Amino acid sequence: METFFSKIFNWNVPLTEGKRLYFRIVEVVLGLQIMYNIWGWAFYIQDLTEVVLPLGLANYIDVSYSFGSNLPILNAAIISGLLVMGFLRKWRHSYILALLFFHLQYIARFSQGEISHGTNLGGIILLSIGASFSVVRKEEDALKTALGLIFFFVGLGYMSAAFSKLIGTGLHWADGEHLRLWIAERGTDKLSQNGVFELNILQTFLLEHTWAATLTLGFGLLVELSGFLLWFRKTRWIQTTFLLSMHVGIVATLNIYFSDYVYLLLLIGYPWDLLLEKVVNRHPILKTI
Amino acid sequence: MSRIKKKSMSILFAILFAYASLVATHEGEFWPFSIYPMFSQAGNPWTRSFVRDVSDELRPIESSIQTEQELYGKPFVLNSIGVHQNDLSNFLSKNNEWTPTRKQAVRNYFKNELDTKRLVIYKVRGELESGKVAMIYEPFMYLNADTTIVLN
Repeated sequence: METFFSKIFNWNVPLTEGKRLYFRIVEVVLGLQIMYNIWGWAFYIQDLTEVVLPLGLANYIDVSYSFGSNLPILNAAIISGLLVMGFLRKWRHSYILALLFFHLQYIARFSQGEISHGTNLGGIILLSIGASFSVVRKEEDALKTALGLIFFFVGLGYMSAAFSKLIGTGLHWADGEHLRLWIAERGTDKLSQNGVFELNILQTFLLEHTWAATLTLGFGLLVELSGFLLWFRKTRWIQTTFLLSMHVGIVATLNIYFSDYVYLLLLIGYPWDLLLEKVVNRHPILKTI
Repeated sequence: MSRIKKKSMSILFAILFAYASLVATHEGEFWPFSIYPMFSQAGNPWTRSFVRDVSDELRPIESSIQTEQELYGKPFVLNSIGVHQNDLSNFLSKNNEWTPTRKQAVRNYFKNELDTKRLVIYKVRGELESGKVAMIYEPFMYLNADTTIVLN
């Protein structure tokens, strides 16, 4: 058991300067991505008037208090401030508190019936970093803990998606006929949102060849089921490449672009720390970041 | 077990416990936790929506199932007013009771348009029939400057 988790957390591997710099980059990208979302939502929330589907803590508190007011903007400012404080190591609980306020912003924005998963990955990464910094005082140990948690829960999330499909439908989830129905659904959405929708070459091919659609869905299901391969350093980059391929496939077939997922996977899934180690050795000033 | 190992494992299991408890008691969703159920029920019919501008429509607006060629008016593009399709579509499909405030919430999406336009929101249903996708279009809500009518 301990050996299994040792492979995820790499407790016994010394933290290199390259990995430390890599972690700082993860923090910056994550922080910017969160700010992009929360500030965009802040102005959208102001135009809302009614809660249709309460999510998360909105089951217990009435989030309509924030509609039509400047509270979402204030909340965005608080989250931004907490993220900056976390990055500057001013207060070790600031990241986890940022997650709480991020949750409040999310449940206000997504109170209209849509359950958005676009920011779940960012939320999980923020939770992993926030919980580690709150509990583990020594920075080197906190970084190792945070990275282990990130890999574990991101992998688990993808596996959960696969199990949801197997439980919700069964093995015949991958039947290519189902893709036909989803492409029509997404076409309706695109038409409503943009006024135009035309099938691309891949969509046309998949609609004409059900066996190819079945293979495509089967590949996606298998890749999600293999989420646990993110847990181990040796297989992480391979699984990340498959996951990114799956996300590219989702864009091409269903016009759904999980941009936050793609950027974060690109960042956490490859051993950038090895490259950064060489950069840090050439430019020691980077150790001060 | 060293101190860091104990702490890492404690955090992992605490989050895992929170994850399992919260998704189990909140229908699979408690951001940032989720069982990611999207697309999990394959083959089921879906219901979405779109909006048509019927300002120049001469036919009386009625609730009846239509073909694509029979749709009233012309397309109204949601991007032109900065409203997200998922919000409007889910607002309509997940709302069972149309109270005056909920009708007002829909009107609010189009607040700058209704002085000059008459709009019809359609519900669109898609289902698999013998390997083909059958689409059913049904006018659901009519909006003009001072009226909101739920058609069915």
